[in-house]
Amino acid sequence: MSTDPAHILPESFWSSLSGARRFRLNGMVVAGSLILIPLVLMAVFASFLTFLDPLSIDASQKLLAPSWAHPFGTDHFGRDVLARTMYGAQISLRVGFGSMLLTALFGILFGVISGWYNLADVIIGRFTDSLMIFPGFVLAIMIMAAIGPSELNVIISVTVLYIPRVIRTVRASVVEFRDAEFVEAARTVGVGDFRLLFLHILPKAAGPVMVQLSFGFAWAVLVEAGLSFLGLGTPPPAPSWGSMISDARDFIRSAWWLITIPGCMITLAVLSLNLIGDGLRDMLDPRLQSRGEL
Amino acid sequence: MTSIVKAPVLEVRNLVKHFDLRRSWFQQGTQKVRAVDGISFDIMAGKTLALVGESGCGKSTTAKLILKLLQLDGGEIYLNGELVSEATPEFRRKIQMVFQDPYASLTPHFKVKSILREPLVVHDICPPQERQNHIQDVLAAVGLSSDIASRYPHELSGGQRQRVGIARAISVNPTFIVCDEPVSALDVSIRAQIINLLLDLQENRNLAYLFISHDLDLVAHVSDTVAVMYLGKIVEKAPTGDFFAGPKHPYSKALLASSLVPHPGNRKQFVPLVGEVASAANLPSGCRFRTRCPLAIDKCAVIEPTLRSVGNGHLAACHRVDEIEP
Repeated sequence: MSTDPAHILPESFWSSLSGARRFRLNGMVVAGSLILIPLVLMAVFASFLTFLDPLSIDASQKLLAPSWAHPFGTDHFGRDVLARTMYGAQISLRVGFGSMLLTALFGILFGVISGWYNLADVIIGRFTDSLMIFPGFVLAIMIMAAIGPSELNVIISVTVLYIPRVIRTVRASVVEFRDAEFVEAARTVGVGDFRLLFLHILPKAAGPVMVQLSFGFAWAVLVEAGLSFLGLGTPPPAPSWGSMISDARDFIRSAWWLITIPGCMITLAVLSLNLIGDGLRDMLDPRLQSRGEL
Repeated sequence: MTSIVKAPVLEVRNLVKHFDLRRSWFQQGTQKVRAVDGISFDIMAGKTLALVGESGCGKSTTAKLILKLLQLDGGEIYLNGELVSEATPEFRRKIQMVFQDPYASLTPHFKVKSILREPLVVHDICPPQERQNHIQDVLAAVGLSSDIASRYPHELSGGQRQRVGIARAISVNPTFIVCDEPVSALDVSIRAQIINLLLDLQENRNLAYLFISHDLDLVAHVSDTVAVMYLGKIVEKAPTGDFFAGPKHPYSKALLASSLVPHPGNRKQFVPLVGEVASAANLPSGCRFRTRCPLAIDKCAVIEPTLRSVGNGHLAACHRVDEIEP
């Protein structure tokens, strides 16, 4: 065992992230992962799993029922629904991942500032309050209407919507632990503010923040689909699940697969992420442990 | 190089800390809690000053003031003869603390080796490749085996945790350690071990201790000087032997009388104190103790007694100190 001079984060940081000492995999996390992992693989390897172009239009092939050539059928432009579903997963996951990455980054930053400095707390606190008074989806529509439909803008609006929750979660942990005795003890030893925050206090927030982010991910998938359904999200012809459902409305009686397939995908994605979020929360809060067993 | 003239490691002069008591947003700063109200003492190298008193008398606030965890409202602190104005890394290295609750004072998600490595990193005490050895040495010095290093605090017993806390304090080679009730959270069976460890370390490293406690028997055992605090003031200060042979202040007498003796029948006179400690936000006029003092006279309500010598380095703040027989 040798000491490592480039050792910046103590090994304990990582174990606190995973909650290693009470790490007992929760049934809901397992179930959620079993749904989510195939979805992620499908999105990542879409170009290997199908040779069909999700955008190529073929008038002779339109509205075909599921068959061996087109397992999920084709839509009114003759595009393969399986290919569109797979590439649609890419959009949903990109939006979810991108927005949660931004949310985590800025949420933790503002949360820390808010918890550490009393004056900033007043300003950031009012800001998060004022964001939270809007019903989420309505605010998303307002933002998209203002900055225009594009995938990046969906990411931005989901971030703006979700960031207050992460700010509050981080702030709560910082406020809870900034006067804790172990923080005082570290300060006595000579540990500076920066190190105190990032090594002693923030790891305590890691668990709750992960829970928030997994719920946020599910929410981002839903918001992206919703906005695309309304024509405010990812613009056509990109195969977003939301715009696929929107297009399928006209054929709901004649081509059931058009609306069913993307609908099921949205349901599965949101369900799996919510299961993971619930499971993580139960793992972090021992008092709820019994509920987590499937 | 040792000099013959001994200078104190720590000198505290007229330390003051007042907390604003805000009843509501509209009524600010009208009341002050005088947590520490002008106390002074010196501690020599290798010696222990015990600060005793009941809960809420300002003992822990005094500790935090000395450690610069709280801002002073008045007074000066001299460490090795130099005025301490802010908490420089050098200051942090010289003065350490052992906390009361070993369950709360160790960062829960740090392994013991991370806890002990941190002061070395922060103060750049030894080169990275020697840190491992340094940690082993410090663990050995507090009587812990080296396999403790890869454990988390919650995997250790209370006594082991407190040893880790002590190891962290001595790992930077301080000259002065504040021990804030270091054993009161521990099982009675391991208190003696921890106390003996502290005494051994003091002897080997010539450490000065400020020992905060309300356990008088313990204080009699560990300290060289006793200072009794009541409501933010020191009411009596004496060499330990003198103090336990004959406390001068009526409050000290009451404190001593209230501590348990092995043979209850041998208890001399036991006059329990009546009433509650006065509020530090609303101090009585004159002597702070007069509301509970069995000897209070009219003068006590008017003039606040100051510490004065009653011989042999024994100081007491009481108007009637001469009338009190040992």
